[in-house]
Amino acid sequence: MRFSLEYAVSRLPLILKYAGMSMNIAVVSMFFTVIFSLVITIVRYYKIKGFHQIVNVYIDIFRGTPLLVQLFFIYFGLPQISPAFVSMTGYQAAIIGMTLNAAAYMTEDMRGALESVPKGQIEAGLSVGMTNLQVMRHIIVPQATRVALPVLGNEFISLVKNSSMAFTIGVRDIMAEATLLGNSSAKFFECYLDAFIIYFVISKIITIFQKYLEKKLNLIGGGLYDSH
Amino acid sequence: MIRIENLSKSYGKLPVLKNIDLDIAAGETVAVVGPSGTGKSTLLRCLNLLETPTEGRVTIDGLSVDACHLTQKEIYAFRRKSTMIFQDFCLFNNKTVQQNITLAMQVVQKINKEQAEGEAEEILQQIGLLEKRNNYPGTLSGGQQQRVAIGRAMVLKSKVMLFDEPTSALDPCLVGEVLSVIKSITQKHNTTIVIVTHEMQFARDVADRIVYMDEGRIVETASPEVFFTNPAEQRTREFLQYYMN
Ligand SMILES: Nc1ncnc2c1ncn2[C@@H]1O[C@H](COP(=O)(O)OP(=O)(O)O)[C@@H](O)[C@H]1O
Ligand SMILES: [Mg+2]
Repeated sequence: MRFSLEYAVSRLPLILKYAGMSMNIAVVSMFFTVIFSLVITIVRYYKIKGFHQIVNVYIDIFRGTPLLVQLFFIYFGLPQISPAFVSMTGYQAAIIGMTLNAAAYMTEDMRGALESVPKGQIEAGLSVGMTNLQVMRHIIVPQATRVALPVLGNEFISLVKNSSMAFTIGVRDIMAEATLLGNSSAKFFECYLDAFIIYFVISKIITIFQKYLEKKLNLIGGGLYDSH
Repeated sequence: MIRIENLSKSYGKLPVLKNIDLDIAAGETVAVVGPSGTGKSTLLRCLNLLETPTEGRVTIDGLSVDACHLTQKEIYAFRRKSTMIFQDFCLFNNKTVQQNITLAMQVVQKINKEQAEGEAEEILQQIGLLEKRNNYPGTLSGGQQQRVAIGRAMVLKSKVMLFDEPTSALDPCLVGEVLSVIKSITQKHNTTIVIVTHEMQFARDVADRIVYMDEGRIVETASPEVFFTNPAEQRTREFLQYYMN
């Protein structure tokens, strides 16, 4: 069998149509991941009793198992033990699974970013009379965000790439469409090449945007952390 | 203004402050000197409650706290009685010079932005850094950073200012500019100052009293005159001999 450039080009727009669904999953998961990570990072930072241990077990489990298993467990497994999950769609299961998975990693990054803020910054805030919460809001979080931003960008790229697993639980995304077209034409090379190109271009665009954002932040900060 | 009674602090089993008693009058400037590792910083940090004392009682401006039962609310209230200047400046890295000075006014004292900026401008003039108001700390010299840190504390108008070796982290050529700002505060006589320092000449110039600490205890308290010419304790004499050379 020979490679048909013409076929690959002609299928590209068809597959590209489903990039919307892939990005949708990535963006929505990212949104929930950031919120959920913030909550569990704070629970861990302040070592809130009870929750703290539960959170650590959750992180251990989700970091120690493959995303694919997690997605299957949520989509195919949970409805069998509780009727509450029967009406769950593949899309919803993908969001839940990807959020729980990504947050288990993101909380580590956020914790690292929080801990990267020097102790002196916190003490200086307290010494001028601020409360712990005020120090968190005005000093620690802004500084930690700058540290975390590049990492969050990478997490987002991971989410875009991992969203390709959603097709295994019935979500019609780039990967699903590429597989479908491949099956019907038996031209898998061309179809998956298109998928390759689309994922790669999306990752690149995000990286460029991320670099731009970092540069802009650096300008605002006027070489903010030059001395540290 | 400040009364320290039977103050002790241990880190785990390591006793760092041992039964400190000290009274400091309103407007007084007290210099605390002594070898490093003897608990001078710990003493200041206990006055600002950045460390919780293990035992004892501290009173500042009529507000007393007891080491044995401290609530978070008491800690916040007590901490606002004094401000602290750190050896390594600790300016807020994510804030400009001006924002460093206005932040606590706005957030803690709830002063509106215009008024806070007005007061910051006055302070910036006093510390001679008005033209650097929009700079970030990372772009300033150590001496400039420390002057901003002093400004950040001054603007809160607390009755007590605590300086922990404010010039120890500076290049020798930058020490003078910081000391002169501190000196101008001591001359106004309405602020009570406790300063830990190794600048003996400066201590002699500005202090009303010198406290000599060694191994977690106050060994001797005397006027600068007596302290530097005729100290009572043998240990003080040895220390001075070592430091004045
Ligand atoms: N957070 C801490 N944990 C344990 N030991 C400490 C801590 N802070 C200070 N120390 C110890 O307490 C002693 C006094 O320290 P410090 O108050 O910084 O002395 P000084 O300021 O006189 O040099 C030192 O032996 C130091 O190692
Ligand atoms: Mg010290």
